[in-house]
Amino acid sequence: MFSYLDAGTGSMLVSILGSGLAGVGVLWKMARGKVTGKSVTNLEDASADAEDSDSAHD
Amino acid sequence: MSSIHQDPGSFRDPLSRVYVGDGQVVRAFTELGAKDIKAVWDKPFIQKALASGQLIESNIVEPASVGLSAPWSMAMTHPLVPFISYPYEWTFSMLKDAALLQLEVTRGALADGIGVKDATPYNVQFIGPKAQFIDAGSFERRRKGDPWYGYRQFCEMFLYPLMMQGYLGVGFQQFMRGAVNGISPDTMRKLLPASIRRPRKGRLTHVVLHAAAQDRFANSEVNMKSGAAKAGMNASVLDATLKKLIGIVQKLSLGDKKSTWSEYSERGHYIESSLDEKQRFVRDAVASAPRKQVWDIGCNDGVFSRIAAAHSDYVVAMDADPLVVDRLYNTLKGEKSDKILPLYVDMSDSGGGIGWRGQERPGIFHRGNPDMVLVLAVIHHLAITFNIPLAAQLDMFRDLTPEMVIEMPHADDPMVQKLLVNKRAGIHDDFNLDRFERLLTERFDIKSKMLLSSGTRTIFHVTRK
Repeated sequence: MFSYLDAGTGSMLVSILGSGLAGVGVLWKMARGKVTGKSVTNLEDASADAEDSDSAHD
Repeated sequence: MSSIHQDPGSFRDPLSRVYVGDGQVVRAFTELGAKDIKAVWDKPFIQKALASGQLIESNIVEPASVGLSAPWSMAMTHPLVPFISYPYEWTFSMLKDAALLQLEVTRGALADGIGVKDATPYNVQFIGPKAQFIDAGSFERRRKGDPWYGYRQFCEMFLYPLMMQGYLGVGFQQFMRGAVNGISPDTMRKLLPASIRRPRKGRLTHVVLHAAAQDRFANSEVNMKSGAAKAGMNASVLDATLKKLIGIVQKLSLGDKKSTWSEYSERGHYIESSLDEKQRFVRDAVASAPRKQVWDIGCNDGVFSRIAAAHSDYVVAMDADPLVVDRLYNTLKGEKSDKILPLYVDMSDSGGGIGWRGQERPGIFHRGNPDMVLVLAVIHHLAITFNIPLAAQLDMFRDLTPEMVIEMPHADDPMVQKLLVNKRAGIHDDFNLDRFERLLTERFDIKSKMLLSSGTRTIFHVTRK
């Protein structure tokens, strides 16, 4: 998906938080990866494969 | 040759544009946009939404067949919506129903592997009291790990306005008219303090933490999309968010339920025979010719809108009291007809266009061509309460419509006297029947007129000169 909107980093985090228990695992992994400027490169590099996937379903 | 023109409000999504003309709406897609749409269009969710009317009727056509060429590689036609309305003209219940429709569409699409690009009330229109999703260009392929890009927009344009009304009892319409992009999390956090005693479900996460997270990451270069994908972001997380938001929105209810006019009808001043004869007069006027669109300005509980609807294709029922309109909307929802669209419109401040160059969302006078307008129990409020001269009012009506039914309360009418109580003596001496009729006949021809048996009001059926 390539939305034309800038969803905003903080907003996207809170949208996961708003899922309740379902998003705990995702937030935990993101927290461990320290969603900071320092970890961006790693996250981007590591997720490059996922970006290229056209899979409609998770 | 086709004579379609681009809708001035369609430019935010670079992958598609909306054109209007030849009695239809055309949505054009770039090659990239077409690729996304074609990948999802035959999926069961889309087809089911089309069949049920949840999504507006849409037919894929060749761009050339509707007069379009490069860069458009695909086009879609839709029927015209009888009257385009905007969220700042909706009532609480209308915005709530539109919010639930947006969430249900997003959730249903998600379950079918489809992404919805945005979450704005401008994706929704009302056909009579029925909400319909009109932005077929919102759908696209969903990629693994995608977050919900529309979350912030949903909060700013649906959730916060509803919270404002439901939790604070403050009408959202002025805020929505003042800011085409809605209410920011930071503004909402300041408006909705922790000390508020009303229910405030959703405040902590969607307002306080949302505003704090925006502050924290305001200058961040974090690629959340990649981060979330790496951390295992999946459709079930998004579905849980959507499901919880549906719960929050469903529990929101109108705060204040009383207003100036919600507990009071000006018809209380009439003896029963006056109301009956007024209804007969309006019925005769409306039924004298087939009507495509009638506006009922000052519709109150919609009794005259219903009379007009029986003799016309579509009625736009407007009133300056959002609670009165909300009540009418909920009544109409329970009826089978979709010919009456209730809207909150204050004629003394109906607003110009908003958004980019003031043209993105045009003012109400640029969105319809009523072939008849009903102006019943209205002009004395505009003239005395808001000091809008009778001549200016009649100029506006002359520009708006070729035919009109208008009611003129005399200077000794009880409501006129009530409105004058706190006004300086003498400043509205020109509000009288003789002067009104002279101003009226300078602009319109009188087809018929009747003195109501109350003796203090005259009603006119007129056509533009």
